[in-house]
Parts: sequence; structure tokens; C-alpha cells
Amino acid sequence: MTIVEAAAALRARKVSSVELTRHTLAAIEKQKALNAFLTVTAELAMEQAKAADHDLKDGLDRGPLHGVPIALKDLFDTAGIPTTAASKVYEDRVPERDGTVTRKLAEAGAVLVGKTHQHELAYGITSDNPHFGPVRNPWDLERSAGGSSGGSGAAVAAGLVAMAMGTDTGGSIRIPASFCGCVGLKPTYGRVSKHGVLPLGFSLDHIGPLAQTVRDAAITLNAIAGHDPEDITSSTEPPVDYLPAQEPSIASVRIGLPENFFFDVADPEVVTAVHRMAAMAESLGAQIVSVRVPDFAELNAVARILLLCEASAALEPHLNRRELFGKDVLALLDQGRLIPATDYINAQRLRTLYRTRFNQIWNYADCLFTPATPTTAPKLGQYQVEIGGKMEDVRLATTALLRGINALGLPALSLPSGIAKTGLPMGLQIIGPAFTESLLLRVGAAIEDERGVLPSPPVV
Amino acid sequence: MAQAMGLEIPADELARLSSTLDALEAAFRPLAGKLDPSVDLAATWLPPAENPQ
Repeated sequence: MTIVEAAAALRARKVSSVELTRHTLAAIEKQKALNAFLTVTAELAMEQAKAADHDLKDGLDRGPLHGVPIALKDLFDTAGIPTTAASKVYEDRVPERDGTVTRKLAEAGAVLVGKTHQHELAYGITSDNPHFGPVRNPWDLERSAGGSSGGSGAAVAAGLVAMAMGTDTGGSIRIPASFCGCVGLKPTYGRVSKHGVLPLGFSLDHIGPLAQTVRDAAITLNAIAGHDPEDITSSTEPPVDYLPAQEPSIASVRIGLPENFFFDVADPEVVTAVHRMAAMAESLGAQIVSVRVPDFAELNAVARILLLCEASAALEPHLNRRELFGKDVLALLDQGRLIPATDYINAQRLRTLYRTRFNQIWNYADCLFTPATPTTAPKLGQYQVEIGGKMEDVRLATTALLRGINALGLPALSLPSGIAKTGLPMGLQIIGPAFTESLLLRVGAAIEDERGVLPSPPVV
Repeated sequence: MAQAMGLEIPADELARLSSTLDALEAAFRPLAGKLDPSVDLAATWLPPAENPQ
């Protein structure tokens, strides 16, 4: 059930929050093989659900999330509930306070059913965790759910919850959304507070929802967007109503299709699906324009330098205890310590340059359509993937179309573009100028309405 | 560099890391080398719409 459907059913008294929550907890238990949750907060959830029902009965309606079961990635601080980043480093960490997003969702009446599993420390894209096992993809249990917000993607795609929060430092919301066949929104840097979310890349971390529909992602953004004095990078730009209209118009919206890079490094079937979505948008009145984008491979190199340095700085206090880290994460943390400060400074200068160059695109297009990931979900344990007859590193290939957008701080929406011949979902990425989430969500909702409902994964 | 910084990274792991880092630096250094001195960095990374640059 989506947030929109649950909200309607709750207000029509067709179902209670207690019933919804009980059903959700049973579904989580039934789908344990997905390994989507690290902590299930059953007792708290039932208390919150009872309170939500009581408030609704008394006429206190907190909005569309009121009484709806949701989940948080295990990076989000939750008072009295372990918040471990799926790591040994933070294994015993129990925050005393809720983070801002946790608090805002609680104030919106959402019912927290648990903390989702993820790639160790959010530093990777497979969610194949050496300490707590891999998150499994609901479309094929032998495949990766993507990462780092893999548990959130798997939980939403399997219908366990309507929405689960994720974080995105180099694609970590959009990758699981693409691999699992759900919607993932990475808002503009500063749009959603990072306070009370464990950091990975200070200047690259973005907070956003994974949801079953574009409208559910919009409802969530309505609840969590806004300035937060506790986060110095939080924007003072006023939030707007992000929920698209019932029949959203995209007439005259200029959709840019990149001439270079994005379609050169993706599987042909993924490329075809994006072009199909663009044709769909055109049939709805949008204007398709061809645009040349600044060198994205160069921008990715800049973003990698930034992330390697920032992540190693964030985890520096723990790096003398090497046994606490998985091999892949430790290798990245070591690399970050070997990059000179001059490279980091120059990467920040190059970032300024690329932001100026990239912003020129918006003179010709209102948003861009690209693939979200260049392939469908790889198998667990697969380290290389074939693209255009060439073997590529899975991590670098999977982040190739996403990572640079984190360095630019721009908003991006990932939504399913179809099902590949292999039976696995493929993803479309819609990128826009800063603070144009409402446009991206409107375009996404129009596409979603026109595309129709996609099949559910086999585990559902 | 690891030795100079006093980092305790085992030699075999250092060897493994160096090829990855070399490839990244090969892509990155030419870009940094072309930077005009006038290109500044934001002292604090601000949301794009609020950054004057």
C-alpha cells in the first residue's frame, strides 16, 4: 500500500494504523530472507500506531504520513534505538537524541517500524555487508539490492513499507531505487537537514526518501524539507509544496537528452528504456532537446577525490582499529589518507568550475533524462560488469552516471523505466537545477501516470 | 607517503591501493594542472543557489 492509499484508507476508517503496523511487522518477519532490516522496532511501532489512531479519532490529523509505517536507514539517529551504520565501529552506538529528519517524520505522525540494513558505513554500492550479511534484491535473491541504502530499497520494493529514508553520497539512494525498481529522490544539497545522520562525505551527503511512487516521495519531502539551524549547510531557501497535481502538466517542459557520456556508458536496453520515457514525455507535451554536458568522467574524478578525503577524515578516529572494517571499505579509507591536501583543495576549486559549466545547461533545458544506473542489478559477489563489450569495475560503472551530481549538489530523481529482458528493473534519472525538486517530481509523476503500474517483484 | 605520515598500512595492501590511486591521479592531476589561479574554492560548501560563485 502506498502512502497515498494508506492515508485515504485511514481517513475512511477502512483500516487503523495498528492494523497497518501489525501487517507491516508480519511482512517484515515473512521476508527475513531479504535481510532488509538491522533493527525492527515492533514495540515502539505499536505504541506509535495506537497514538496515531487515537489522535485521528480525536480529530488531530498530522497529514498524509499520519499512522503510516515507515523505516529509516541505520545512519539516522533514533533516540534509544541502535544507530550503527551497519558497522562494527558503531556497533554499540545508541543515540540519546533523534536527528532532525527522524524528529520531523515523527511529528508528521509516521510510525517507525525499524532501521534498514545498508552497505557498511554507507561506503559502497552493493550492501554486501561483511559483518551482517548482504541485503538481497526482491527481484532475485542472488542479486545485489544496490547501495548503500540497499535495505531501504529492498524494503520498499518488496512492499514491506511505503517509504524508507536513505542517504546519497555518490548514488546511494538512486542505485538501490534503480536496482530494486522503486523511486529514489536525492534533493538539492542543503534542502534536507543532515543533523543527526552519520556522515560519510560532509560536502557530498544528501538525505532523501525511497518510495513506491513519485507522489509518496513528494509527500515525504514535504515533511522533511526546510531550514535547520542545527545543520550549518542547511539552506534558507523556503520549501514549497512538492506534491504534484492529480493530472500534472508537463507541456513545454524542455527535457534535455545528453549527446555525450550518459548514453555511451550504459547497456543498450537501459538506453532504449530512457528514450522510451523521453518519447512518453514528448507525447505529454514536453519538448525534447539534445544537450552537450561538461566532461562527466572528469567531474567523477573530482568527486572521487572529495569523497576519499572526506570519508577518511570522518572515520580517522577509528582507523587504528583495522580489524573493525570490511576489506572494501578499509581499502577506500586507506586511499583517502594517501591523497595530498593540495589535491583535495584543487578538487574543491574544480568543483566550482564544473558547477558553473554545468549550470549553462539550464539555459537550454529545464531538466535532463539519463539512465540511473548503466545496468540492472549485478549478482552478489560480482566485481565486474560488461558494458558495450568492455569489462568494468562494478562500483565505478554503477556510480558513473550519478557521482558527479553529488559534487554539483543538484537534485535528482530515479524512477523505474521498465523491466529488462532478464526480468530485472531499470531506472531513469531526472536531474534538474538547484531547488527544482517540484519540477522533477511533476515530470516524474506525469511519466509514472502514463507508464502505468509495473509488475511486482517475485517475493511480493 | 604512508611511511612519512606514520600510517600503519600493510605493505601488500599498499601495493594493491597504489594502482587504483595511480589511475585516479592520472585522471585528476591534468585537470588540477590546468586550473587558473583565479579559480577559488568556497570556504564552506554552500547549497548551489546560495553560493555567490
